[in-house]
Order: sequence, then structure tokens, then C-alpha cells
Amino acid sequence: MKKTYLLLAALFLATSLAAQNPTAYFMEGSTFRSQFNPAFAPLRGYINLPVIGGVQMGWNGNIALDNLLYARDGKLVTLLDSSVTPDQALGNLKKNNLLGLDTRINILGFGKFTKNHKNFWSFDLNVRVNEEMNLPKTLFEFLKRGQEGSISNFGATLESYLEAGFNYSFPLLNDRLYIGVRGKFLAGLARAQVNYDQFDISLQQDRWAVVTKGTIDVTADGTSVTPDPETGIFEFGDINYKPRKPAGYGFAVDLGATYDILPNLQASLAVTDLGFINWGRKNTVSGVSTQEAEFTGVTVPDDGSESTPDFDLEMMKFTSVEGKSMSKMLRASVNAGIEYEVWNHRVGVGLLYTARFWEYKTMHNITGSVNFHPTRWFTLSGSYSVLDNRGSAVGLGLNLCPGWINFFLATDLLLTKHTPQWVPIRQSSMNLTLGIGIPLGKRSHRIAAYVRENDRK
Amino acid sequence: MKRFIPLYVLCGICATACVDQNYDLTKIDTDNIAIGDESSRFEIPLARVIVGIDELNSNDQTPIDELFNEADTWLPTQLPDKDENGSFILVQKLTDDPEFVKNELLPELISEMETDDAKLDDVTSLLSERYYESFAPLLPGVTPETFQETFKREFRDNELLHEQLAEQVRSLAGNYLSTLDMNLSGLSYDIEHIDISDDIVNMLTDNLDPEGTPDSRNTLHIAGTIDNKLPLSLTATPVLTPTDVTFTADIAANRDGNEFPETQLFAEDLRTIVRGITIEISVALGKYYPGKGFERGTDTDTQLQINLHLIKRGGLKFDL
Repeated sequence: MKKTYLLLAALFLATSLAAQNPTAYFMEGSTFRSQFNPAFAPLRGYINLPVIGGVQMGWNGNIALDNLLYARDGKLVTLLDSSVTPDQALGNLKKNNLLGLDTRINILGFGKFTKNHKNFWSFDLNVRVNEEMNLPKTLFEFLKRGQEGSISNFGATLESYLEAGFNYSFPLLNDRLYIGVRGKFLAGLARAQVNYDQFDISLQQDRWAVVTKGTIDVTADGTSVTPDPETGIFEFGDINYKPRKPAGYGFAVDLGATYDILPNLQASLAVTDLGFINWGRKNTVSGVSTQEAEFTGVTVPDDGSESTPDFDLEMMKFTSVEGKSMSKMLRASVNAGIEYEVWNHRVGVGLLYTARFWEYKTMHNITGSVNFHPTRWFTLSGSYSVLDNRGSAVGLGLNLCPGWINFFLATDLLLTKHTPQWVPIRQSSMNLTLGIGIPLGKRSHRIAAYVRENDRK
Repeated sequence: MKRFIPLYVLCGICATACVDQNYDLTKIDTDNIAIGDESSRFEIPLARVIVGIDELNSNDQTPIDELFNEADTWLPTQLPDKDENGSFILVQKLTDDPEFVKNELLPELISEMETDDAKLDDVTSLLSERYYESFAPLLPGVTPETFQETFKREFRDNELLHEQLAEQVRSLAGNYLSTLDMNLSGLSYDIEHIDISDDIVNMLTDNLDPEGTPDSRNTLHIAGTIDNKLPLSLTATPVLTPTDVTFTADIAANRDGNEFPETQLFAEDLRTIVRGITIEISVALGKYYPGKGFERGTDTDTQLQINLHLIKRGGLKFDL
């Protein structure tokens, strides 16, 4: 029980940051923009500074921090604290409470236009960490009200991998259509999944019972488990890791296109992270939790039946089963945008729809954006996102590429209440994208000639 | 670049102004986490103590059903007291009030023998079985085979002998009822271990209010019910040793679910109980309802079942 809670608490707090930052989508000229759509290209070629060349962190979900933590008498307590009434704690929870972390750190990145200033290629080496958790409301109803019930479909997944991608984009239809493709070789670093399909609790006067059906799969190089020699049962602490090389390999593609419907109206569509990683069997530890325990009190005189193990509500105990290799799809995304430019391409108004296919649910995001670019090397974007039909976030983005540096920063944290640790309090999503690089080569000619000409003055 | 400096300053001001120090994640307090809240009430089963009919014996090891089967014969069918469960006799009154036996019960018994053939048959059968020799001086020459017929004839028709026979019956009945051995002893049961984990025990005990706390909200009690198939009302007093936990329960006859009062436990009491206890039960008899019980059979041997459970008020402590 204790470890169960520790896991939940750790995941709550660890799952702190988010996915593709919609504010950065319309930051024209940003070197990071092609991650949304491989048909996009930056203003110039570039080489990123290692690690800080492109960092994207995001927390997307349908639950905000102030649904989980409450300020009480100068202290910060969790929703499970007894000073938080069940009505307060449960009032803001959804049927399924989703939290997702998506982190991308660029280790190495460079790209360049070809001689025609329109075809663009780039290479990126990224570390990706995805984490996702679903906590059904029934779990909290049990914890807050002590209500018995049937809790299902709760769990967490974590996936970490290296991504080496080569991107190429080129024009068609007299430059009105740009097609981009990124092929990505993936090296899986680690993967873990814990899922409970059933967690039934009964707390009756004459019977306490728990029925669990859960699974765990952990894959990483050098993973082994040391179960209890008598029972064959293991817990998280019994899993050993010695990662020295990838534990799985895979492949993915990003496909994208932009199309100029009118000279100042561009539509874009992309599917990213369409692929899989095949995780090896020999580096996988698997277990099942099929506990069926009940306590009805002892009977005296003894009825002569064999003694049973002490009753406990303990979860997170697994019986080891043979691991098997498995292919896991990445969390693919669909990004569809449209942007209209006015005032000689100095101001753009954009609308972006994003769908992210999570393990537990598909999350939908619509973002409206106003983008200001008085010169080509400067873009300032403001955005408002609606996440899963709920008002979500106001974001600001800045892209600077004056000739000697590429710098971009986009976040929806500036205008929202946040903790001293920069975690938003009332907002159920948080995004931060930043990067620093060095420009290389000549400028893009993808943009309309009149803009280019003005820019040169 | 310089013209954008005000923009950077503005962003910095916004970011700083939006910091809520009340949500400093370094100050998360997890000491007071519980399942449920102060209004919650949890019940958890603890033990069932089953008392079979073979364990209910008098001091001389006479089974309780034999003890009261003979009493049934000596008692008149019409008893002076009655409640919703039927006619009863207070067992304590039999031993403590000889005048009551002598002046109310025995005259009624003799009267019933004079008018009710069935009662006369019952008494005569008992006399023949157990007290034949007591009547030898009054019925000379009678044999065991002819006793019942002779006794009934002389009791009904022989005016001279009737009173002597009646007096002997009164003597035997009075002696039996007045000395009914009611001390049910030896009800002692060992519970070696209660199969709940330390984590569950900690959840129940870690946040209990200390003894003496006024208006306690986080409390633990032992409570339960007693199912009674006996035609006897009882006062049972289980003692859970080595703790000092004890309670007294008044148990109605022929009724399941007799509740006994909640008794408060403290943390060490429960830990001791879970490690193992002996339950010693002393029983005092109350009302006896003739002809309403003492059934023997495969599933009726259990005469008393004591169902113990715990009641935790307030949340279950969650130790992080």
C-alpha cells in the first residue's frame, strides 16, 4: 500500500512537463518548427548548440496542480490529506484523470538549404522521454471516501528512446506545395508499463477483500529481477538495471505538407511519430498481479483449514512471468494548421488543431495564434489553446535569428499562476520550448519575394 | 535587439508576478494523509467464536440440554411469567427463591399432573427412569416394568396414597429445580494470530486520538453481535487476555444478532489482539423458555456465535 502511494505520488510530481508546444507552431523561421511538420523550414541553415539547441518539455493532461495540491495553513497538502474534504477533492476530478509528459532534448542538430534556397535537409539526434498516467476518479473516491468499488484502467507508462532523424523537404506545384519527410531511426533506452485492469475493493463489516489484475513490463538493457525465493513474487525494488546499450530498435516517419491556398493563406498538415520500437525479449522483465485476497475474521475453535497469508491491500506485487518481445507504437500526432498573413506579411493569424494519440486516450487541442513578424528575423507569437474542450493556456513565443544566433523560446507559463518551481497551478497543460543555435548559409527563398526584398533593405 | 529589451522586461515581470508562493512544491506536507475523513466509519471483521452445545456443560459435566430437559418435566407447562418469546422462568429465581418454587411452581405441577394426562405421563416416565427407587416404600412390590402404570393409577385413584406420592414428587422436583447447576464454565478460546498485516493494523491505529481526548474523532472500538440459538437469555462477559478488554452483553434467547456495546480499543490493544489472545467467556443464565431449543444436529450444534469486528471512526492513516 505504501509503495503504491509512493508510486502515485512520484508519478504525479514527476509528470510535470508537456508535449508539442502549440505556441511554437507559427513561429516562422524557428529551427524547431520542422518538428511539428517536416515541410516547414527555418529561416537559414543552422547548427544547434548541444543539449540547449532544442529543448521541448510539456505536460498535457486534463487535471491541474490545484486539483492535486491544496494550500492549508501555510502548508501544501495533497488531495488525500484529511483536511481536504471529499467534496473538495473529488469535485474537480474527471472520470479519467490523465497526465502526460513529453520531453525532447536535442543532442545534435544541423540543417541546410540546398543551392536553390528552397530544398532543405536537416539531421537531428534527440533524446525523447514520454510518460503517461491515467488515474480514474473511482480510485480517489475509494481513497477519499473509503468507498468500496471497482477501479479499473489505471496505470502508467514510460518510454525513453534516442531518435536520429533525417529530414528533407522540397517544393512542388510552382512552390505552392511543400512536402517534407523525416525518417527516424529509434534506439529504445527504457520502457516501463504498469497497468491495472481490475482493482476491486470490498470493505464490509464481515468481509474485506481485494481483487487485482495487473501487469508490469519493464525493458532496459541489463534488466533482471530477483523475486522472493519462497513466493516467486517481486516488487519494483527487486528489479535491477544495468543499462549500457539500447534495449530495442525501431523506425518512424514524420510526414508533412504545406500548401499556399492563396498568396497569404497557407494550410499545413502533418503526421509525426508514426512508427514503432521493437523491444527485445531478453531485456524485459514481466509480471502479473492477480491477487485475490479476503479477510472474514478468524474462526475459533479453528476449523482445521490451513492458515492463510496475512490480509493486505498491497498492490504492486507481481508474479514473474516470461518476458516477451513486443512492438510498441509511438504516440503519434496529427497537426493541422492554417495561417493567414496580413499587412505585408507582418502579422499572421493562425489556427492549429492537434491530436495526440496517447496510450489511454486521444487528446485534442485547438490553438488560436496571432503572430507578429516586423522583420524576418523576429517573430513574436501569442496563442490561446483549448485542450479537450476546456480553456487551457495563453502562450507567448519569441524567435530571433538576426544573423549570428538562432534563439527561440515559447511557453504558456508566463501569464499563468505557477509555483516557484514553474509548474502551472490552475492550468492543466504546460509547454516550454527553447533553443539556441548558430545560423549557417543563406536565407530561405520559400517566402514571398516581396517579403524577402523588404527584408534585405 | 535593443528595441526589444522592454519586451523582455515585461515578460520577466509577468513571470515573476505569477508566482504563487503558497504552492511551493518543496513544502508539500504528507503527514496527514488518510483514506476517508473525520466523518468516515470503517468496519473490519475480527473473529467468530463458535460455542457448540457440547461445550455448554454444568460443573459436573452434564450437558446443558440434559440439564434443562429434566427441568422441563419438573416445571409446570403454565409458567407465571411470559414475554414476546413465550412463557419463561427466571433461572436465578429457582435457586434464590425457594418459596417461589414451593408455593407457586410445585402446586401448579401437581395440579397439572392431576388434570393433564400428558404431563402425568412425562413425570411418570422421568420417575421410572431416574427415581424409581425413591418410590419403593410407597409402592411396595412394584417392579420397574409395572411402575409407570402403578404410579399413575395410585396417583389418580388412591386418595390416601395420592398425597404421599405428590409429596415425593414435590420433594424431587423442588430439590432439582432449587439446585439447578447453572455455572457454565470452561468457555476459553485461544486465537493464535489474526491474519491481517502490519500495514492494515497501522492504518487502523496510527492516527487514533490519545486516551482521554475530549470529543475524540479518530477512535477504534471492538463491537459485534451474538447469535443465540439457546432457549435461554444470557449475560455473557468475554475477557480478551492479556489485554484488559472486556465487555458484557445481554443476549436474548433464540435470537441472532444480539448486539453488544462498543468497547474502545487503543493501539496497543489491537496490536496485542492481532498477535494472539485468549477469549474467556463467563456466562450467567437469565430467562429459560421451556421447549424452545437445545437442538442437536449437524448444523445446529452451534448454540452461540460471537461475531467480533472493529469499528474505526475517522480516516484510515496512510503512511507515506
